[in-house]
Amino acid sequence: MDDKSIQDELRAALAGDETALTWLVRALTPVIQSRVARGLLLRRTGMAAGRDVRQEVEDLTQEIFLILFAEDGKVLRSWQPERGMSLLNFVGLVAERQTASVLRSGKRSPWKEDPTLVEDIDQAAPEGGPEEVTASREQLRHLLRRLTEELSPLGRHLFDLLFLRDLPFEEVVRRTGMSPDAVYAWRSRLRRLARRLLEEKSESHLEARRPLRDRRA
Amino acid sequence: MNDDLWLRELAQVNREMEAEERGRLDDRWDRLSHGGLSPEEESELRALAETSEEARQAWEAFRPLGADFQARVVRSIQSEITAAKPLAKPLPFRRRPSRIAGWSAAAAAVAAVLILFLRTPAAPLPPYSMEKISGVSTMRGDEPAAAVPLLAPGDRFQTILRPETTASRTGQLEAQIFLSRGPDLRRLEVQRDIDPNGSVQVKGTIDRDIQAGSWILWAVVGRRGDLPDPDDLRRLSARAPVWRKDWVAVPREIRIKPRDLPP
Repeated sequence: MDDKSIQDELRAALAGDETALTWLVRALTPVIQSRVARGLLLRRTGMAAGRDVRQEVEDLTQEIFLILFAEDGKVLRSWQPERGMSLLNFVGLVAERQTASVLRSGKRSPWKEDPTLVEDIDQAAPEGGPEEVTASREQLRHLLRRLTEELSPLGRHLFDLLFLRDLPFEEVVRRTGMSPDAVYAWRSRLRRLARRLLEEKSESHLEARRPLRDRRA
Repeated sequence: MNDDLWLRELAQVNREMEAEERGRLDDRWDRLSHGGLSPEEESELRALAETSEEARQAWEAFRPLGADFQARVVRSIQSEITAAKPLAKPLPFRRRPSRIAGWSAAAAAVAAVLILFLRTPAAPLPPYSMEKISGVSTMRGDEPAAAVPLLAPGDRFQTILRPETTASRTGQLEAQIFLSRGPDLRRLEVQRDIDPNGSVQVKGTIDRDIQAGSWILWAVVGRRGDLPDPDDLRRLSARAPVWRKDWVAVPREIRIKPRDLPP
């Protein structure tokens, strides 16, 4: 089925058409389930690890469906096939993000549209300032998890293409159908956000290692 | 450390994490959720699930969420959509209608329900599976599950396509059988018998001019007028059934043996 037909089905489902809604739920269930299952099995710890995993998968999968359709399908309507992401990939990233959020904070986080990035533009932090950023592998792992949680599916997709897969700039422009200026702006913002999250983690890491009496001082 | 350095290291850590994850949960588990495992792979995972608590949990987490779960999700979403819609304006009180007016209203309501029924689109087709192809000999690999039906040109065959749940509006169903190999795609003339649940029995004959070798037999069930274009079948992966709202295509590998020479 092409993207145009999928968008038609999506619109019909959001308008309450039961046929389209049933089709969509059947088509999306496997990808949501597998991302949720991965997230839970690979990262849950402590109390959460003792719960019935099947029940957890069911609950979280249903929760993600409700997030997709909340507020007149705000999240689903933000899917733009011309940006080079299939609906399944898009929904998979939403599922990963939500699962990461639940595992970190123990609760569902409301949908955010890259608020950190908007804030980031206003602050316009310098890129790669004089202060050095040091990062252990554990901090970098933590940063990857935070990025999954903080970024919208499009932001996460772009971060993946630009920094993790290190694709040439022109290739990212081609794959996403975005203008070079837009990709350039995203690249700067994503880099600043990643740096900021890393610095936060480094500071909290140092804070945790400092003796208690120093912290009281 | 400048940005380029730690970003490079970040990419490296990401690759390591991905490899680590695949080591613990390879892509067969994802395909289990998607219903895309071969019977052999599914048996392997079932056996693996009995070897450790971690694997048992993986089996429980990835085995497909069924039709009941999906129906519950549809109902929840519908409730949300209904709750989000603004309430209709309350109707003003009306005078008590006369008896004739009451009959007219009842007739209009019946007509409206009929029109609604006729115009309501049918529910999507359920997934279908194909039973054994009978009337053939089989080629067996090491495992019984790996049997590949073996037919010869001119052989008669039959099979049943069974829906996972009862299909709606079965009077509109149509079934077709195709054989494909590379660019070669041919439709077979078949007789079909569709029961009220949507099960389809098909009987047909293999073309006499077909070349020996491995072929994919595609069984397609769909609503009349909405079946896929045969050219679309060429583009489909033959690894697993393909399911769409109005049609389902189930592939099965078969082997055509050279026709016996007359004595």
